[in-house]
Amino acid sequence: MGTGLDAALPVRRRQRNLWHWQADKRREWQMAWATAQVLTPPPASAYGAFGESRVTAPARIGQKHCVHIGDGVFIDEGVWLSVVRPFDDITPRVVIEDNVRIGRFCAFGIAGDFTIARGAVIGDFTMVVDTIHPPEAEDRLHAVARPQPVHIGEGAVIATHVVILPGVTIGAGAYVEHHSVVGKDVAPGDYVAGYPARRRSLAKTPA
Amino acid sequence: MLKRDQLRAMHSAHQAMAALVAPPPRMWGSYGDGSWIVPPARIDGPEYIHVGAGVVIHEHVWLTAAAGPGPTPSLRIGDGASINRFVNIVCFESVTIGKDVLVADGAYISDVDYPAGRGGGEGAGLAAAGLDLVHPRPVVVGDGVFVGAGAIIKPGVTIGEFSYISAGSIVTEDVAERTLVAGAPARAMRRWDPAEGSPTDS
Repeated sequence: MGTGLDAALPVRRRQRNLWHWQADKRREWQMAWATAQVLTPPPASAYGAFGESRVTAPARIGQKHCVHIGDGVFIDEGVWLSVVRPFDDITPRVVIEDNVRIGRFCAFGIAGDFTIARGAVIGDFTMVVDTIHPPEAEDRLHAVARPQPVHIGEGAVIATHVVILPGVTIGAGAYVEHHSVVGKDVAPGDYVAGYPARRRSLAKTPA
Repeated sequence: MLKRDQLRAMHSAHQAMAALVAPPPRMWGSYGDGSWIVPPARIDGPEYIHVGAGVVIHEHVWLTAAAGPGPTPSLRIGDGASINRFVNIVCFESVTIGKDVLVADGAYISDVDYPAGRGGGEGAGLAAAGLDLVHPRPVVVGDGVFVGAGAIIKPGVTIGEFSYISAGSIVTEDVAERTLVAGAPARAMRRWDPAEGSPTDS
C-alpha cells in the first residue's frame, strides 16, 4: 500500500484496493485463528482427567470431557482423537492409563468405550476405531454402527500403520506387527501379524 | 478480530511449531553443504546425526538418535539422499543410509524393535514377543536404494546397494544388492545386473 505503483491510480481505485487488501488480511487472520483453535491441544482442565502428561501440537481432540488421561502419557503430533457421540444413550469414554505412548498421526474413531492400559505403546499412523460406517447402510457417510468396546492391554505394543477394528481386545504384553489389520481378539503375550492379523511363530522374526 | 486475539493466535501457532523447527547446522554431528530440512520436522539428538551434502529432508520427518546403554549412537545419511515426508528413523546404535537413497513417504527405519523413539510405554510386549529393546542391531541401507512408501525396515537388516524395496513391504532379512523385494515379510522378486538396467525397464 502506498507504493509508487499504487499512487499512480485514481483515488477511488486506491481506496478499493486498500479495502480488498484489508479484507484479505482479515480473512488470513481468521484462518490462522481457527487453525490454531482446532490444532492447539486443549488445556488440562478441559479433559475428564489429565495427569502429568504431554500432548504435542498439532493435535485434534474431540469431546475432551470424555477423555481421561493418566500420568506419563505422551501423545505425539498430528494425533486425531475423534471422540463423538452419535447415540444419545451411549456416552463415549476414553481411558488412557499411565505411561502410554501414542505415536504421530494416529487416528482414533471412538463413540463408546476405549481403554489403553498402562504402559502400552502405539506406533505411528495406527488407526483404532470402535465403530464403523456400516457397509449396508443407505446413507453410509452419515450412518454409524453401534460401538463395540476396544481394549488395549497392559504393556502391549502396537507397531506402525496398524488398523484395529471394533470390539477387539488386545491382551497384555501382545505385539502387533507393522501394517497388521486386527479384527479379532489377540491373546495376552501373542505375536500377531498380517492382514488379517494371525498368530505367527516367532521363529521367523529376527531376534 | 481483536488485536489480542491475533496475538494469541500467533502465540499458539508459534508454540505449536517451536518444537518442530530443525536445529541449526552447528548443533549436528556433521552437516553437509546444501542440505535442506523442510519444516515442520522433529530432530532429536542432532549431535549424533551426520548429514551429507545435498540431502533433502522433507516435512514431518522425525529423526531420533538417542544414547542407549551401548556405544554412542550414529545416524548417517549419505550425500544426495532424499528423506520424504512422514518418515521416521530411530537410532539407538547405528543406522546408515547410503548416498542417493530415496526414502519415500511414511517409511519407518529403526535399529530397535520399538515403534517409537522415546517416552511413555514400558513396552512389556517386547519381551513377550522375544524382541529386544535393550540391544539395538545396526541397520545399513546401501547406496542408491529406493525404499518405497510405508515400507518398514526391521532392526539388523542390511540392504545391498541399488536394491528396490516396494511400497508397504516389511523387510525382516538382509537384502542382496540390485534386488527387488516386496511383501510382508519381504521376499526377493527379481534381481538384475547393472548391464540390464533398472527393474522398471523390464
